Amino acid sequence: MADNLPTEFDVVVVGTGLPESIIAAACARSGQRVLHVDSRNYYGGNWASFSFSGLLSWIKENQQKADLSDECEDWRKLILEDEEAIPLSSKDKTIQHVEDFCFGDQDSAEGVEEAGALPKLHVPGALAAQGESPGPEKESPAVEGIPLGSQGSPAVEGIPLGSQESPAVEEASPGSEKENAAVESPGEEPQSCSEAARAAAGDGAGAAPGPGAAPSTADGDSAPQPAKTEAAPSENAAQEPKKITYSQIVREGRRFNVDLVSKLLYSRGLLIDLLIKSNVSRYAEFKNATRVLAFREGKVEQVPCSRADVFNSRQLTMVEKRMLMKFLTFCLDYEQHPEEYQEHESSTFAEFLQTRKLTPSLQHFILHSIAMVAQTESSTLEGLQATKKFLQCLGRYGNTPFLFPLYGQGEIPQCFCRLCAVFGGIYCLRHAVRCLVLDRASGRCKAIVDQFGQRISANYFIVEDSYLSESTCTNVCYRQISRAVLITDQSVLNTDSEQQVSILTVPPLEPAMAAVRVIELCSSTMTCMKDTYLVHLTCPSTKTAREDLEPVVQKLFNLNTEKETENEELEKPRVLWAVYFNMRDSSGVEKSSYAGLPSNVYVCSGPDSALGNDCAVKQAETIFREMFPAEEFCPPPPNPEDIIYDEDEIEPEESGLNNSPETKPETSAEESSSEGGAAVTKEE
Amino acid sequence: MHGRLKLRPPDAARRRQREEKLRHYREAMDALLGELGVPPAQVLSLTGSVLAANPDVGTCWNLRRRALAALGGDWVPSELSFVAQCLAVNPKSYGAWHQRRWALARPGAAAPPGGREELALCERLLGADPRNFHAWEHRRALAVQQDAEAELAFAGALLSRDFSNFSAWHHRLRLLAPARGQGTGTGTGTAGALPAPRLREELELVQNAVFTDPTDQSAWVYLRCILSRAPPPPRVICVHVDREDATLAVIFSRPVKVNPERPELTATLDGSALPGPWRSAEGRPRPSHTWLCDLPAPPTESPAHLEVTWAPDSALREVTLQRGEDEAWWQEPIVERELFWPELGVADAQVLQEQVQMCQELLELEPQSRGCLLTLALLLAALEPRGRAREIREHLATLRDADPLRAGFVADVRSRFEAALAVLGAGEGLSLSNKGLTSVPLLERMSALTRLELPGNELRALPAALGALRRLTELDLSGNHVTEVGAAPPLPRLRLLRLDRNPIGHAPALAPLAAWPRLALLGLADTPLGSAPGGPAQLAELLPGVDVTFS
Repeated sequence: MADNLPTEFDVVVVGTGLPESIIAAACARSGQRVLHVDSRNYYGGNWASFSFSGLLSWIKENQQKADLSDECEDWRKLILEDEEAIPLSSKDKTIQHVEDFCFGDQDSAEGVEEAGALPKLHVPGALAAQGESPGPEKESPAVEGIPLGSQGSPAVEGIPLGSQESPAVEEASPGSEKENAAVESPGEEPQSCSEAARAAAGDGAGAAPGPGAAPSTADGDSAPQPAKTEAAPSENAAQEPKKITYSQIVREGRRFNVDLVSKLLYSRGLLIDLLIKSNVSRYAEFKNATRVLAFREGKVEQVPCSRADVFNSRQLTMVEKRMLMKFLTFCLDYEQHPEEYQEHESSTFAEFLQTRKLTPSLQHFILHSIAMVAQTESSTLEGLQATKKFLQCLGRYGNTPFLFPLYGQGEIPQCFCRLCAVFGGIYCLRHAVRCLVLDRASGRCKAIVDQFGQRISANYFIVEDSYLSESTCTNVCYRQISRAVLITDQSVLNTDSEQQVSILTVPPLEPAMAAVRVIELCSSTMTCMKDTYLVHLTCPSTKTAREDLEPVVQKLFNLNTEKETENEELEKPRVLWAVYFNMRDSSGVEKSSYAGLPSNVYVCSGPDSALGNDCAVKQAETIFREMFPAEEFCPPPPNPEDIIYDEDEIEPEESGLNNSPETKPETSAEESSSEGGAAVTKEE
Repeated sequence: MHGRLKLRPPDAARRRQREEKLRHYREAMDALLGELGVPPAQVLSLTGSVLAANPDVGTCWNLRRRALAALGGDWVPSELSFVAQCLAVNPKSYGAWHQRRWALARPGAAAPPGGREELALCERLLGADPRNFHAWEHRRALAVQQDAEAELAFAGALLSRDFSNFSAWHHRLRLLAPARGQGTGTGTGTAGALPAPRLREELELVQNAVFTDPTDQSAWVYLRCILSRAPPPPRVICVHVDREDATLAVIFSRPVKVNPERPELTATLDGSALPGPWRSAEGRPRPSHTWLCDLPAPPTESPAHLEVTWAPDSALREVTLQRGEDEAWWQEPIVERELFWPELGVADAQVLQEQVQMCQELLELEPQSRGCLLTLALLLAALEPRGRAREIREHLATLRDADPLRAGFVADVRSRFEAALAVLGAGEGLSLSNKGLTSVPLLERMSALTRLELPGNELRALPAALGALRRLTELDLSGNHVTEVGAAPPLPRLRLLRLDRNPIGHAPALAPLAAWPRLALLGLADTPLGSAPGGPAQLAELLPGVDVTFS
C-alpha cells in the first residue's frame, strides 16, 4: 500500500517512541526530509497508550508471541555486491511475563459491545482500531487541563491549546461514509497543514498523527456528543455509583487511555522545557498531580511538600513543621552550604537525614516521597540533588512538582510526530523495515529495504532498540522493568475530592527488593472510567513483574472478589482488573555495545524506569546534535502572526481550512502581532 | 506555516498597534474635552472606549459620572458590569474601584442580589491575585452584612494557599475584633478581646504559620495584633499649676488636640471659668501630651482652687494651690502594666505565657528569627518587665544585630523599655545614664520629676515633648549627640542644664534658652563651642542671665 514512497530522504526514523519522535520532529523542524516508520499499527512503541480493548489485544498478542520464524528473506537479493545487509528484527521481545486478572464477573462481559467500537475489533487476535492512532475520541472539549506556557495560574480552566487550529473540534461530525475509507487507508488529518497532509494522503502512506487527529472511526450514530460523554456512564451508575463491573469497563473502554509506561513530567524537567520551547505543548493538555503520598507503618498518608502544605498540615507538630521547612530550604541551595553536608558525603542520604534532628516520619517523607531515592544505596549528594529537583519543580504549575498529560503519557510522542508531520515528515505505520544497507567502501549505512522490497536511501538512520536483531545485540545486557496496571474502585487515600492524581513510593518490603512507585490516576485524566482509578506500579525487576509487585498490591488493595472479606480489607480499594508485565529497559546501553552498527545509525532506547522523561529528551538531543551540530534543537516554530503568505501561494482550499482570522492571508499582514517574536528558520 | 514564509519583524506590528491605540485615545479625548457640549450618551460611549482599553484615565471616570447623573434611569447594573470589564483589564485600577463604590452608593443600588455579585467579583479577583488590596477593601466593606464565619473561612482558604498575605490576616482581624483601632474601649475594659476558644484557634493558625516560615512578617504582625486590644482613649493624667509662671498645665496619657474655639478641655479657678486659650507646650496647633493655659494672677492670700474637666470622659481633676506654695499638682498613680505594652493587657497571663513558650521553642530552632525575637521581647515586657529585664535586653540586642536595617526601630523599642523601667522606680529624680537611648519616651509620665539624668546616651536633640516636665529643675544631657536646642519648649522651673560633651559648635544653636525663665546654670564643658574663637563671648551676649561653665 505504501510501496510508492519517495526513495530519498535525509533521515529515516524507525520506531515511534518518545526519543525517536523528538528526533523526527527536530529533524523535520530544521528542514530535513524525514521518513518516520513503525512496524506496529499504533504510535509510541512501548510508550503507547491504548483504549481498553486495544490493551486487551496488546496483552493477547504479547502472551501468544506467535513465532513467525519463516520469514521471507527475498530482500536479500536486493543487496548489491559492494554492500552488506544488517537485518532488523521483526519480533518484539521487549515484553515478557504478561499476566492479566479479572476480579469481577468476567463472563457477563461476553458479548458486551464497546461503545463506539467497530464490530471487527472483537475478532480474536486482531488488534484494535486498525490504522488509527490509539487514542479515544476526544469529544469532550470541557476537560480541565493546564495549558503549558501560561505559567503562574494553575487554576486556569483548560483551554485546549490547539483550539485556534483546533483538531479536537473538527472531528465532531465525521460522516459515516468517510469512516470506512478511513479504516482502509489511514486517512487524512483533518485540516492538517497542507504539505504533510497532502503528502500523506497522496501517497496513501499514513495519517499525520496527533491528539484528536485520529480519524474517529466511530460509527456516525454512536459518535458521542459532548454532553453524552458525561451522561452515558452515569446512566448505569446512577443507582449504585460505586459498583463498577467488568462489562462496564469494557463498554466504556474507548473513553479512556491506558499507558504502558508510568511516568510524570517534572514541571521544570527537560521534557516540559522542550514542549514549551518547541511549542509542541499546544497539542496536549496537562493536569497537575494533586498530592504526594507516603506508605508508612501500613498506612497511606499525604506528604506535605510545599510551604502551603506544611502550613495546612494537621499531622505535623509545630516543631516538625519548622524542621521540615528548614531542611527543605537548605536543600534548595545546598551547594551554598557545603559545611552542612560535607562530612556526610561518604554516607547514605538516609544516614545523613538521621543526623538532621528530623523525626522518623519526616525522614521517611523526605527519603521516600520527596527525594525518592534508595534507602541503602543513594549517597547524601544524590539525595540532596533529588530533593532539590523536586523542590525546584514545586509551584510552577501547582502545589506538586508533577504534571500528567490528559489521555496518557502516550500522547507525548504523538505530539512530536505531529510537529514532524507539520514540517513535512512522512508517516507510515504498519511499515516494517527488513534491513539496513551498509556501503562497504565508506562503512556507512546508505539505505533501508522495507517490507515491500523498496529501497529508501537516506543520510542518517535512527532505530529504536527493539528493532535490532539478536546478532546486533549479543553483547548487550538489558535491565527489566516490572509493571502492573490495575483498575480499582476507590482511591488509596480518600479525601473530600475524588479527582486526585497521586504519586506514592512504597519502600522495599524486604531489604533486597526495590522501592515500588505507585501512580494513581483519576477519571478526569481520561485514563479510566468514572468512579474508578487507574493505578500504575513500577519498579526495576528482580523477578517477574507479578512476583515483584504482587506483595505491594496486596498491601494496598483488596484482591478478593467476593464480599467475604474482613472488615479491615473492606477499607482498601478493590481491584477490578489487573495486568502484570515485564518491559525491557534498554536505557543506558552504550552505542559501542551494539555489534556492527555504522556511525550514521543511531539507536534510541525504550522507556527507562525513572519517573521523569529526562533520559529520553537527553538522548534525543544528543543524537540530533551529533547528526546536525550546527542546527538548533527544536526551536520555537514561527508564529502565525509573523507569517506573510505570498499571494500566489495561497490555494483556495487552504483558506477554507485556515479559517481563523489571524492566519487569513489578507489580514495577516495588518493584524496584531504576537508578543513572542519567534523567528522563522525554515526557509524553503 | 505551510506555504512560503517571510519573516516580519514583530516590533513593527506592535508599534502599529500601539500607535493605533494612541490615536484612538487622542481622538476620543479631543472629542470629550472639546469646546462643544457632548451629549451624555456620547460621553458614555467615548469614555467607555477609552476606559475599556485603559481604566486609569481619571478624567474619563469623572466625565462619565457626570453623564450618568445627567442621564438618569436605571444605569447601575450596566455600569457595574462595565466596571467589572475594566477591572479585568487592570484589577488594581483605583479609578475603576472608585467608580464601583460610587455606583453602589446610588440609592437602591446595593440591593441584596447586588451584594452577592460583589462578593463573587471579589472572590474571582482574589482567586487570581490573593493580595489584591482593592478587592480586599471592597470585600471588607461588604463583609459587614455577611455571615462572619463564612467570611473567616474565605480569608482562611486564601491563607491556606499562601499565608504571606497581610490583607487576608487583616480581614480576619476586622471580623474578629471590629472595634479594634477605633479607640472606643475604656481604659480598663476588655474591649476588643476575643473569646477564649476563638483566640486559641487563631493562635494555633498563626503558630502554624510562624513555624512554617518564621521570616514571614505578616503572621507575626497578626499574632501581636490578636493579643492586643485597642489602646485606651486619652485621659488626663497630670494637672500642674505654677504660681510664678501663672500657668496651668494639663498632661494627657496620649497626644490630643484641643480646639481653641470649642475646647473639650475646660478649667475653673475658684469657680469661675478660665478664659483660655489653650496652647500646646510645643506652641503648635498639633496633638500634644501637654496643654497650657494662662492664669489670671491668683490671689496670694487664700488658697486657689482649680478644677479641670475633660469632656470626653467627663473626668474632673482638682488641685489646690496653698498659700505660700509656689506650685501644686495632681498626678495619676502609675500602673506598671500600662507602661510596657499597654495594649497587651487584654489577654490573660496564661495565654501570654504560652506564647512566650512558643517563641522560646522557635527561637531554639531559629535563633536569628527577627519576628520571634521582637515578639518575645514584647511579651516578656508585658508579663514581667522587671524580673526578666536581662532577657529582654539580650533579645533586643540580638535583634539589633540580626536586623541592621531596622536598628533604629529596635533602639526605640529599647529606649521605651528602659524609660518604662526607670519610671517605675522613680522618685523625685530619675537617672537613665548610659542606656543607649535614642529617644526619651514616656516623658508624660515624668511630670512630677525635679531631676532627670540622661548622660551617655544616643540622643541627637532635646526631646520635643520635654514640655511635660513642669517641675524639672535639673536636666543632665552630658555625653549625647545634641547639636542644638531646636524645638524643645522652655521648661518653667529648670535651673540647671548640663550639655557637657555634646557636639555643640555655635552659640546661636543655644539661643532659644534665653526664653527659659529660671535657667541659671549651663554646663558646656568639652564642647566645640568652648574652644571656638569668640564662642563664649557670643553666648554670654545671647544668654545674659545664665552662668555658663566651659570646664
